[in-house]
Amino acid sequence: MKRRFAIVGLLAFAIMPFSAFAENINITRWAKGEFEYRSLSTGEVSGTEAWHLTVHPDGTRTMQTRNRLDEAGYQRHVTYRVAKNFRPLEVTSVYWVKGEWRGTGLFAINGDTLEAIVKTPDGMIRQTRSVPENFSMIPHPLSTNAWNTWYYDKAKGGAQPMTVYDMDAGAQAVSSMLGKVYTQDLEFIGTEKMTTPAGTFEVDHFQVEDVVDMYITGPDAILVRFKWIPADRDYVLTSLETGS
Amino acid sequence: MRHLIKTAYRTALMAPLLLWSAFAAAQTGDSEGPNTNILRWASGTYAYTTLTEPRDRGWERFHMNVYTDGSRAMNMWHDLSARDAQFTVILRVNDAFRPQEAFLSYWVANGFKGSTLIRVEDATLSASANGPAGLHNQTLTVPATFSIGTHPVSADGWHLASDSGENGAEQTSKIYSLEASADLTKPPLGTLRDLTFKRIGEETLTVPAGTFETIHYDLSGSQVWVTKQDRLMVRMINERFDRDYVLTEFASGSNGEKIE
Repeated sequence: MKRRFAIVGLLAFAIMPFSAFAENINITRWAKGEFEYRSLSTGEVSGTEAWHLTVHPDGTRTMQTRNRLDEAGYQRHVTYRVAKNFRPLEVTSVYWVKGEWRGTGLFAINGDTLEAIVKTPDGMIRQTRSVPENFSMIPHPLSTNAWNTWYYDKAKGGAQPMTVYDMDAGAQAVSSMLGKVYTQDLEFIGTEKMTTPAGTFEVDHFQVEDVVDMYITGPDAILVRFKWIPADRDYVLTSLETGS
Repeated sequence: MRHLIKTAYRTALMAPLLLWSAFAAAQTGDSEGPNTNILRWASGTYAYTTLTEPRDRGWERFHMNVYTDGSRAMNMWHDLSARDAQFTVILRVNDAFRPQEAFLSYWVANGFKGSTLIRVEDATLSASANGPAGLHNQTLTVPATFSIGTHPVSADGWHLASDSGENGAEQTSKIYSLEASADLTKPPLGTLRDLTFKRIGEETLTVPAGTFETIHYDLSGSQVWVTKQDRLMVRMINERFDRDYVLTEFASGSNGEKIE
């Protein structure tokens, strides 16, 4: 009987005894939503994304996402954790491309160092590199792209540098999933009202290099719409639920 | 009239079962839908309650993709409010349910416990945990048949993948079970333990999410009912600890349906 008790304890932490029912102190608030990936010109849907955000009591945020971009043959699972100020803490990702698993990776940021460990069909690859204080990750769900704006100085305005570690979206060749660091111009255009199938939102409108328009709402920087005109892409929030 | 209502009710209950059976036809194969990677998918929500009252203890949601090579990836998120725990997990297994990788991020009653990446290559399991306890690495030799216990219940049916199919026989397996206590000095790394289970038999089970063709097991003292092909948990109860985990919402589809 004692042995059985021990195994049960290992199996399901959830069945251990508890003292009293309470709200979960580790969830300050949550939100979940879905995007449709559309063609700007035709409105045709070429993919979808589902995400779930948890805001923790220390202000850190965990975003769990999955997306599929059917025309390109992509399917990804990504979990992205950021600090209270939205600076990246870690990303984990699983990429499938055109019917093949291309890799599972962990990208952890400690101070000014990013360490990546990626398991691929060809073996393990590792990367250690320095990163600046002001930077973000692009693991390729759309929902977390809104967090790239976290250090933009609205009071100063105008075009400001936005530095990103952009993971290889196609997980190609031997450097599968590893990213490149580059800097683009980010500009705050203004505050607007925007209506999507998910509702009507007051959004901050940002432009990236005059080619991408991002519309972002609320204290958790939830992406409402992402228009990428040269690529004929329109990513639209189609559902949103929030809770405390 | 009463007969019609009863028939409609039965049909509604059977719909998820019929749907699930239809998608349960293929283990591997080419994608027939717009995404070349996904064979089929399923998602659902569980309610955690006590058995006796019942009293709310939390909830969990999952999403599983089955890929063209038969491998599976399960996203899990749980809110175990009764213990102030919140776990975010992804687990990937091959077509025989053998773990390939897992990532977990644990919040427990005392705060953030850490994040862990687990990789399995042949007979070697490597885990790296990062959190308040610091960075810890672990390497273990694992057998051909084992599973990973990450603590949300969605994937607990995968512990039973080595089932011989013989009703009533005591069976054993191994589980790499993650440390998940509120003690922040202990990193979320695992230990390899023995696991015993007994197949009770096939049963049709109705839960709030619908009616399912299941296999009933005694899993180390817990009664569990899992679907046949993807071994998804439909219900788990433990009378000794007064626990009930039940599937309350369920959806599934083939790759042909774009919106998950």
